[in-house]
Amino acid sequence: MNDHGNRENDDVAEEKWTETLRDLARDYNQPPMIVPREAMWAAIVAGQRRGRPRILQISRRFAPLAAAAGIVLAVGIGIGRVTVSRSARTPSATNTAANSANSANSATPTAVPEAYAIATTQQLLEVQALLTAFDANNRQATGSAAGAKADAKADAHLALWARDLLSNTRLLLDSPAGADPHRRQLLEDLELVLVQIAALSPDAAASDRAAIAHTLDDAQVLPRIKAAIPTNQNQVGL
Amino acid sequence: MNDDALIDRVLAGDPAAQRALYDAHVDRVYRLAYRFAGDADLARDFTQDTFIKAFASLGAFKRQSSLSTWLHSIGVSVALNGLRSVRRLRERETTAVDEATIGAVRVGSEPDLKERLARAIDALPEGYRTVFVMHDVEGYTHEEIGVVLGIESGTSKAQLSRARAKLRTALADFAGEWIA
Repeated sequence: MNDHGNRENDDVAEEKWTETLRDLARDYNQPPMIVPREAMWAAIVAGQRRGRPRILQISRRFAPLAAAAGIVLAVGIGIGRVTVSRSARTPSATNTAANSANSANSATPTAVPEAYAIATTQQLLEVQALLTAFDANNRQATGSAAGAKADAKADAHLALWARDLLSNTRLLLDSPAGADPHRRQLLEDLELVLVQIAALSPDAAASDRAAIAHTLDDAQVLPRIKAAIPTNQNQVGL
Repeated sequence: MNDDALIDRVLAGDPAAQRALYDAHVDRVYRLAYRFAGDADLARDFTQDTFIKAFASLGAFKRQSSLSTWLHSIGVSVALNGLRSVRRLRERETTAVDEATIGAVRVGSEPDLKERLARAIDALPEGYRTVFVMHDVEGYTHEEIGVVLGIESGTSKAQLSRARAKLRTALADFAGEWIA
């Protein structure tokens, strides 16, 4: 067969291959027949009412990560228990006062076991550090064009940090620490902010960071964290 | 009602117009999000975020392209960014899982052609996969893809050609059956 004939055969084969590929690819990630229009519309309306973009709930889908973080949290709670038992054996004046206060509180149904209170305070301190770093990074990014460029690496670092803290926050929400309504509300707000920061991509738009800053301001997150952290951390055995 | 009139009503704060805009475009946006994500929950998240972002920035829409193209640009950007986040989380998740378990899942009976193809499409570089899904799976033209992705239509054609070549290589052992 001559060159011309070979080329024609190749073209026919190529066309056939492309056609078959397209036929088979139609089944790739085949969407369902029914689009959940109403459910999505309800979420969109709710997102608009909140006045901020709806947050992707991606991280909720990664339970194994949360389980790994659970080990970290369990160690934290374990340390808390050891600290509590030690402080019970050698009571200081401060601890005695704090224990009296705790005893009074323990009569209420929402009292949090001390080990969980310690873990919560540790978590709040960590989140406070993250949010302060985010705030500084955001200010730098909005301050100058060079800052905006330098900030990509910082965003990636903050996103990783937020993911770690997010897992612990969710574990605390599911623990006795989440039983107290005020603490629960704070942890839920932290969860929201952490999800937003965890979803920051290195090339995040300024509007994404602005949305997070808006959430922080709107929910008064940092002042509430400060208020929730005991002034004298001996009160929670730290 | 044409797009311009609908946009004007939405910007004037008419909730019925907002819903009309949503109804007119949601199926195609969701469909594309699902093709990218392969997961109902993620597709929902991406579609919702697309419309929330679109309604929030509709005032900035210059009307130089069609509303549909503009919406799809937002949708593709939301989906690709979301999938990057998912991929990073999955990578971290995978390192936490026992390697032996992964091996057990992967080693099994020979997958059929469609499964192999799906896996090969998943493994394409992001740019190739995006163009391949939009053109060969969802039927967008190169011109539409160019506008949505902000690339030349020639670039779209080149990426599609490279995507097909990569798929052909990945599925070489099936190629005989395909074109027989």
